[in-house]
Amino acid sequence: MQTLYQPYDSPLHRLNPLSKLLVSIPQMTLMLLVSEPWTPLAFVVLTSLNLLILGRVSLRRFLRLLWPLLVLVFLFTALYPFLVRQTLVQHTPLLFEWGIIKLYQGGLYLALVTGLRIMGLLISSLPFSITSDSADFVRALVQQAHLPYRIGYSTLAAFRFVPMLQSEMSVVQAAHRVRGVDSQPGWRGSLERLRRSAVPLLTTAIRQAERTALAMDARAFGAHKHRSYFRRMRFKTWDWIYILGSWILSGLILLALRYFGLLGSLHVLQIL
Amino acid sequence: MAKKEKKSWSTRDLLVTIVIGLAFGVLLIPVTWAYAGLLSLGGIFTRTILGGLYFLPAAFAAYVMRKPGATLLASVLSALPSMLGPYGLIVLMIGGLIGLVAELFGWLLTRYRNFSTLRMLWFGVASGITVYLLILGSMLRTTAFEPSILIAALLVSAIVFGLCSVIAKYLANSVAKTGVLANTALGETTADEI
Repeated sequence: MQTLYQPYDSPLHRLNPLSKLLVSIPQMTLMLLVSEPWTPLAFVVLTSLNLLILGRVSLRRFLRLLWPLLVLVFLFTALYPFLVRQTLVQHTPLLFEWGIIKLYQGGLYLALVTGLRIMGLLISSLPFSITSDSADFVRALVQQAHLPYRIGYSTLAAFRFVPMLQSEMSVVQAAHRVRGVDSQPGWRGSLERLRRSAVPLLTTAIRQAERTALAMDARAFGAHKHRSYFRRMRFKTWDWIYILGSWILSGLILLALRYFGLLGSLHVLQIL
Repeated sequence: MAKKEKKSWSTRDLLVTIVIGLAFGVLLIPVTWAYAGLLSLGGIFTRTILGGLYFLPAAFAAYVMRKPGATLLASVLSALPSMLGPYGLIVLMIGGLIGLVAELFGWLLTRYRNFSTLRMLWFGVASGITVYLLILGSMLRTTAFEPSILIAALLVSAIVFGLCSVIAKYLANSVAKTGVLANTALGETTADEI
């Protein structure tokens, strides 16, 4: 399966995938709650430094990873001010007016906050995605998080299907093209393509899954409550240092932002 | 005994559910990559429509497997191929959230027994409304949106999830015709009907 993960010997790569999760998830939760731009900005910088220094990610690769996120945030920020409720921002200076379209400074500010929050939310998971092998993640889930090994190892077995499914999908699409299957442009065409691809893909995948399940049963998979492991994942001292260090650093950043009055209020469900 | 058998998970059930999730995950990879570009076309509405597509694996697994946990497992697994891409854990969180909501409404509305088209529609509509309130409510500071936009997006979410739920049912019936689902709850129900 093609992922963002690239094997490398860096401090972040050597950590247990779960310790990276335990750092990323609180940060992402925080991004859901904040209402000012400074907190997401601080965490975007912190995570970028984490990747560049502890993850040993080259600046070039980092920028290549960042551009889809930047495009997303840019498009979002560009569109958002025009959807903002007028009563909320019309007391702020009017920056631009064209017919019924009005751009207020307040709307732009709200867009910037939301864009940064989404950026913070997405970038928080990069230390995990870039430096964690998916198989190690499943192993850690089984060995440390006590996920039932039947689910964990079945997932690991099914992971092997993903490249096969991806190539199967290409074959199906090529077969459609060879037979001259007409494809409508736009979203209708996309939906039609999804339907045409889904049935053969699911059929192949399920057939393969049944064969694998039979093979696993024949080898007494799941017969015993406990099992031994060829590759052991461990939670080392460095994992604890990384988790506690990140939490303490994040706490200090929040305290500093609060001290300077930049933290703002935290909202649990911002639709209310 | 029959009830116990229905609730217990064989290796085949596990693998089939996981593979359903992963296969939909592969199908949804281009959607996840196109996310940024599509956002410019309709902002909040595009997000809502794409959210509906992520409901397909949950609805498909609920209809095919008819077991507690299958919906959640398939939904989480469908996020895995995209999770290891640029949007990372957020895709997994959304997959997990959609799975949890779908699992709850699957149990409430179908009880893992009644999967008529109308029930599937309501299953999708209820999940769509709840997912909209949870995801969009927490991610986009939606208090700033015009109320009319919020209500329109809520309706879009309900309609898209409802439609995707019904599409998942017909997709599952199409796959069942090939015979590969003969050993699943759906296949057994079809065999009983024959």
